[in-house]
Amino acid sequence: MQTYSYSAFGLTLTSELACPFLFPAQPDRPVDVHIRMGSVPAELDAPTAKGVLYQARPNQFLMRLDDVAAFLVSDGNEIIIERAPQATDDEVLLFLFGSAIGALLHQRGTLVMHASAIETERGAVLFVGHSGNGKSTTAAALHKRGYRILADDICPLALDDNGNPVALPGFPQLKLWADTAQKLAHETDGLRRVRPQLEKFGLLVHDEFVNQPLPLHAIYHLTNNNKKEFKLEPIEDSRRFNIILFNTYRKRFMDGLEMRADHFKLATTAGKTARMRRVTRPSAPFMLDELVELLEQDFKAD
Amino acid sequence: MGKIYWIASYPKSGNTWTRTFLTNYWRNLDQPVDINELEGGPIASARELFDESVGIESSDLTSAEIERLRPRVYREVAENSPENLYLKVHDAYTCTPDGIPLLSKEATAGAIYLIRNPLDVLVSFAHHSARPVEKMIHALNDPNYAFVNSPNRMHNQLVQKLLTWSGHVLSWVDEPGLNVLVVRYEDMHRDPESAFGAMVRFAGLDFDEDRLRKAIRFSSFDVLQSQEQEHGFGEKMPFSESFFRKGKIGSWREQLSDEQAAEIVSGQRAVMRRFGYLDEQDQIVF
Repeated sequence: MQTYSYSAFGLTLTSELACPFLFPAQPDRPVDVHIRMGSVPAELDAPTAKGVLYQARPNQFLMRLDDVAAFLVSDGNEIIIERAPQATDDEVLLFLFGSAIGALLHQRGTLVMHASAIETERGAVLFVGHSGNGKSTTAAALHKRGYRILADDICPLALDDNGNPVALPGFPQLKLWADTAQKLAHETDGLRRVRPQLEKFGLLVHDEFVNQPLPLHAIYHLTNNNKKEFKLEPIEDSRRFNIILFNTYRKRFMDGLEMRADHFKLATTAGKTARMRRVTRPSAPFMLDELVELLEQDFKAD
Repeated sequence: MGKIYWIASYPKSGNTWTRTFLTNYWRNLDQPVDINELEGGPIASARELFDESVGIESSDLTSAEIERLRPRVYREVAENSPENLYLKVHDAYTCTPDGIPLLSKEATAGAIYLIRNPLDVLVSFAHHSARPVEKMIHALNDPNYAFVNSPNRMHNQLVQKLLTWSGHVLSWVDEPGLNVLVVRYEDMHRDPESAFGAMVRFAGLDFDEDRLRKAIRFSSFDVLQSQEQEHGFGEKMPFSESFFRKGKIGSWREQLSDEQAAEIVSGQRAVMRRFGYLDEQDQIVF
C-alpha cells in the first residue's frame, strides 16, 4: 500500500491515508508516528477511563464514531484507523487530527493544550477557553493582520533542552464557521467543508504558518459575559496552574493514560514562566476588532 | 434508577428561582447564596458537558449525531456521579431519531417540571430576549421552535427543541414512566411553603421546616433583584436590561393587547385549561 510522509506537531508521520493539508516530511528524518488502516478491537482490555465514545488505559486509547471511523492509538507512535465504508476522507481526517492525534500527543508526554496559537516577536501566544469563546476566531483575526499561525485547537507544550517551555506547531489549517469566515472576509466558495454536512470550513494557511517549536510567551484565557466592557486582567499565581490544566485538550483522556506527573511538571513550569491573562469580552455583539487590538497591545507590551 | 433530577421548564418559568431556592436549602447558610454561584448547572445542553463526556468536540458533529449521543452523555454522567445530580434543562422531553429519550430515562431519577401562565411567559421571554412580543408569540406557537439553531455559527450550547409552549408541557408531564413533580410558578408565589416544600420532599432531601422558610426568604424576588443590581447576573442575555424584571403574576395585562393575548390562548387553550390558566368559561385566571 502507498504511504505518505508528513510533518505535523513537530513529528514525522507516515500515513496510509493521504492528508492533503499537511506539510510533506523533511527528508531523512526518523519516523515518529505510523498511521495505518486496519481493524480495531471493539473494546480495550481493562480500560482505566471511559467516555461515551472512547476508552483509555496507559499507552492505549480507543475511539469509535459510528458511520465515520474507529481509531486505536498506541504507545504514542501508532494510530490504526478502521473506517466506515460511507465515510469521506475529509471526515476521517477531521477526527484523526482531532481527538485521535490529541490522545497520541498525551501519550507522548506533552501537555496538550486546547488552544489556538500564533507567532509573535516574543514567542508563541496561546488562546484558551471553552468551545465557542473564540479561540480559532481570534487566531484567524490575528492571521488576517499578518501574524503566522502556530496551531488551531490543539497546541502541545513541551520543555526544550534547557528546560524552558516551548509550544509545538499543529498543522496549517484554521477551522472557521461560516459567520467567522464572513466576518474576516474569506470567501467560503473556494473553501473545503470539514464535513459535507457542516457550515464549517478549512482555511489552508501553508504560507503563513510556523512549522517549528516556539518559546512560550503568553497564554490568554478567553471568556465572555453579558456586560458591555472588555476586561483584561493578570491571572493570579494561585490560579495559573489550574487554568492550564483545565484547558488541556480532552483532560479526561489523561486520567486513563495515567501520565499526570509529566503533565503536572509541565503545567507548573509553563505557569511560572508564561505571561497569563484573562480576557473578558461582551458576549454579544462579538467585537472582534476591539478584542484583537486589546490582545495585540498586551502581548507586545513588556 | 438514575441519579439526575431535572429542573425542567420552558424558559422564563421559574427555573432560576427554583435553583436559587434549592441552593439556599442545600447550603443552609446565614445569608443568601450568591446568584452567580447557583447549583443545578451546567444546563443539560452545555457544550462542555457533552464534549468532555463524549471525547469528541460537538462542533465537529452533525445535529443528528449530537442528538443520538446526548442520552449516552447523561447516562455516562449519572454513572460516574457518586451522588444525585440536579441539572437545569429547557429542552422539551423528546426522542432521538432512534426513538430513545434524549434525556435518558436510565439516567433520570425524576423531574421537577415548572409551569407558568404562557401569557406571562411571553412577556418575560420577549423582555429577556430583547425581541418584539409578536416574534415571541410566533415562538410559543411554533411546533418547531428551537434554541440556538443557526447552522452558520457555534454557540456555547447545543440545539434545544422547545416545541410549542403546550408541546413542551405535555412532552414532560405526559411522558409515560417519568417520575415528574409539576409545580406552578403561580403557586410558588401564592403558597411558597407548599410549593417549595413539595420540591424538597420530591428530590429526596431531608425536610426541615425552618430551613425551608429560610431558603424561601433568601430566594425572594427582592433578594435576587438587589443582587443583580449590585453585581449583575451571568445568565442575563446581553441585550436585555435585567434578568429579574418583575417576577409578578399577571403582568401580561399591562403589556399585551387583547389580540395578542387571544393569539396565545387560541394556540394553547387545552393545556391552559388543564393547568388552571383558563376557567370553565375560558376566562384567563391569573
